[in-house]
Amino acid sequence: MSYFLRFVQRYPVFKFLPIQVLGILIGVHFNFPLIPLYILFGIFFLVLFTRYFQITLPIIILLMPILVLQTGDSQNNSALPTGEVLIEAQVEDIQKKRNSDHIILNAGKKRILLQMTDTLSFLPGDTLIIRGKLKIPQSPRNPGEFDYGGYLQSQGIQAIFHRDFSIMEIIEGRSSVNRWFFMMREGIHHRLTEAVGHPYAGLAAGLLLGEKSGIQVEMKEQFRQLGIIHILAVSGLHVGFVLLVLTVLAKIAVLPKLYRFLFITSGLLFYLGISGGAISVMRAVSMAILYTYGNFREKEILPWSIVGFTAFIFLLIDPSQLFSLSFQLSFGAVGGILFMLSQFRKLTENNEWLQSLRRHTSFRWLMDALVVSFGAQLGTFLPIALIFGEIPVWAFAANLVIIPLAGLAVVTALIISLTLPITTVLGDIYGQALWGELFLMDKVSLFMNHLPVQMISFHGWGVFPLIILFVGMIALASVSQNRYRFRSMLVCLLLGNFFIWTHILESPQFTVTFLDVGQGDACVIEDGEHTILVDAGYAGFGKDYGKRVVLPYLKHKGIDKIDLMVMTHPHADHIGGLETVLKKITIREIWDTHNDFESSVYDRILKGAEQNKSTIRYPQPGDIYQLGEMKLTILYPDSAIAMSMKNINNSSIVFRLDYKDHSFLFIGDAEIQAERILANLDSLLNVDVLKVGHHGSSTSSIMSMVNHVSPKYAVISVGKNNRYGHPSENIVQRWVDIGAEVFRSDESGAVIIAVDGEGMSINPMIP
Amino acid sequence: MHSLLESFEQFIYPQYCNTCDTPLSEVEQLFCSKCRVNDIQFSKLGNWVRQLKTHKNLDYAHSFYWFGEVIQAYIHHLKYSGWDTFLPRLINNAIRESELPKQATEAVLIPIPLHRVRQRDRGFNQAMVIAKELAQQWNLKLDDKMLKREKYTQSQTKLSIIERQKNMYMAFHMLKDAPKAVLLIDDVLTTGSTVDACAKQLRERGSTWVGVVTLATPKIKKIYR
Repeated sequence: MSYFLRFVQRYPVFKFLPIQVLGILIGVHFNFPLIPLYILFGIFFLVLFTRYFQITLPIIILLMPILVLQTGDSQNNSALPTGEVLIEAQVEDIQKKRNSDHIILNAGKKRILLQMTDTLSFLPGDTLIIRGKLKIPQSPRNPGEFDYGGYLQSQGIQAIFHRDFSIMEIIEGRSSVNRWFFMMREGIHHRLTEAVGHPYAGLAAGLLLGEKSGIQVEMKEQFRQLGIIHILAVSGLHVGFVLLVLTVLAKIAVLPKLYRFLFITSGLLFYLGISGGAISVMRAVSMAILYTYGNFREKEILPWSIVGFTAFIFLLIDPSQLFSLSFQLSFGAVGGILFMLSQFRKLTENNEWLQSLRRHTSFRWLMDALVVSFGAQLGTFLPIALIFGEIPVWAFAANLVIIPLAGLAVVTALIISLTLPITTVLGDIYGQALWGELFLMDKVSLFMNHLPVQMISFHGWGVFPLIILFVGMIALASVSQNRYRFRSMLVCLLLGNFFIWTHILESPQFTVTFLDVGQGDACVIEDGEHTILVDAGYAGFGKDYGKRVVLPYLKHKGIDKIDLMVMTHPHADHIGGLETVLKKITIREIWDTHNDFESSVYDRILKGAEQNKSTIRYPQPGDIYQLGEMKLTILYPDSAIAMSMKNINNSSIVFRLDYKDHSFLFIGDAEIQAERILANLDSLLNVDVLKVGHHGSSTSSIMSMVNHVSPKYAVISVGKNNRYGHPSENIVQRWVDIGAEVFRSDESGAVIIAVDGEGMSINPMIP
Repeated sequence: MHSLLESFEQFIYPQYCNTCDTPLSEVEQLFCSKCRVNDIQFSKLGNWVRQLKTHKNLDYAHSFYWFGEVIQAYIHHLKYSGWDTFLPRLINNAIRESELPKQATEAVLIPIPLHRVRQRDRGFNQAMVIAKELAQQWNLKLDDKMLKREKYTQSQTKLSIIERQKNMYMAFHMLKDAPKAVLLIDDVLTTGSTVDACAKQLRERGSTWVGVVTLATPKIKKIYR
């Protein structure tokens, strides 16, 4: 505590930062009437410059974010019109993506994202008149899925034009800084591409401009896996390198102090412009400018103070940034680095051996690099573990090699982009050099990708255990505060123990999750120990629900092995996604039917199963399969029947699942022919939850079967606006009439059924 | 307006004394006045050329201050951050306290040059900054084009006196004829091996009187003198 107080005393901005953060938290969690809030703020503002300054200023700082947040909320309520609209909007930014251009439009105070596949030539500042269908970005439809809507929302984007729109008119805008920088950026991009060439042109643009569209998917994945993807997003690291180059240039030119300051500042602002002006770059550039200004004014620079002040100002402008990942990563990394450096310095002060090592320049460099790398990793641990659920193991070793290389590459790329027009020979030489640097980066990261154990998984840990782990790590790293260190570590260990024991004693939860895989089926059954997957969604024509939905879900739940996979029948909308799943997840046993269906997807999956060393079984009616407390009873089909069916849907595996006194029926795509046979089974069909046959088609759910099943809940797995017209209104009505509550995946997204001590509960993703 | 800027600066760049860690006022820099007064002391050595280890070619030597923590910090910040407002003040104060010998009234000031690689690395020569200030105060001529450093020498802090002399052998080179009287200028003077090497070159090219003036000299002299 005294350590904290000393810290606050030393850096005045940290007197206000906690108050501001408190204000933000209050503003997000509570609602206040706006007008009294404004009046209160006004009163305090009026008495701000009186002798009560010491009290009024903190109150103002507390009120400010509440005010900004709540005013923003009330504006959001007056949302954009959706559906068919005619809208006039100004182009704010154009972002190249892999398959399309993302155009950020500004319509009044709202932002709209326009996804364009064909290129039209317009620049930031132009005004577009668009007629089309305005859509609200989707919230995630499955657990573990990337929250694209939330991501757009964090950028202030509230609606999307996608496919159904036409641009009626383009009104050319006046020339502006924004426009000029955009053209400059395009020019540099072009120049870099020409100088570097295949296959590293994309990587060069990514490094210097943060322009990721040209980088191969595998290379990006390779960087992500290693935890060094951050070098491809322009950030503090890049700005640091640019600052270094500018400082050296200013020194070589022997500029007087004022000119040096102006030169470095304008250079930084120029880089901000050409790198697209992302908020993370703005933050880093602000810090760099504050640093340069302090130096100009001959002030000794305390890094904590500059970092704190930048955070304070950016939160003042937009308080909601506190919750953005980019903000957390930026300040987490910087804070972690500063913390580790100060701890390490104190450690060396009292350690003869370390001091003797530090006399060697190379050791000193290596030690500092290690400390910085570790600090950045530590500082970003919490947001990364919470959001991605896994921490790359080798990141901090990789950073040691990759960051100097990246720095070199950024500097070379900067030189190329600024000098190439003067002499092409020189440009060519630099181009070759850059190619070499990028080649090295690629190969080193490729090599490190082959090291064992890439990720430590924190899936399913929950927030509090992670926070305790984080605090424990901070305590462990606080080498200079030995007294507090052991005490706080002890507390963390005790709390950690508490969590582990409550976790063990807690009865495992049984869940059945009907994933939303569009037009297709996929369902995951878990009892906390075993996992069963029934179908895996569609794959083909550029879509792969295995990759998009099933794998992320399994990852989110921390599942890396499946005990049983049921392929109800080999249609692509049921087994397509399995191909990708087989590549990433161990599957012990696969159920299939005897059939003469032939398709390339089916062949590939059977081959994949062979490579996965999965056992393939052909279950027969009457078979009973026990997994923990789950009992699976196979009802259909007999191999002979399966072979005789012309319509492969009718050879779908049908089984009943019993867990304690709850029962489920999975019926695949079984249609009338199969259902007639099933209907003979009478009470065996009677269950609590049914996955409705064949996506609710009118060719399934015959009356005799409906009567026997009479479920509490009926789940229809179906895609929006599918070309088959599923589900049939009559069939939905039929299930409602029998007394079932019907859930449709096209309306409610994934449907999660959980069983605990108190009984069964059903939760759709979209209520 | 000015005070607003200053209080703003104090908010972002809070300053603390490097020795005693007390907060500094707007006019103080790096050290509080108390610590500065305690640490910065005039050497009052007068002409101490006889006490230098190497002084064969030198007629005069003077250092204004004892080389303490404060001066070290300012020279460091001059070298690495380009801070150049404090040094003139330091020199002004010193000049009032010291007198030049009469041979030096016509002397030309020559800052000890840096090797061009080092100079490019740093952006400037700290001896030049001091020499400029002195030239202005004493109203003497300054010539930094006369002497050139030929040899890139490593830092001498850990070398013995013999090694220093060897290190400095033929390190400097004259580009034109030397004037009759010369005052060499540097930041710190310890054994005198560097300035003596310069003086040797100057004498060969016609100087009859060579002195040296530096900002500071370390107080613990026994090992050197």
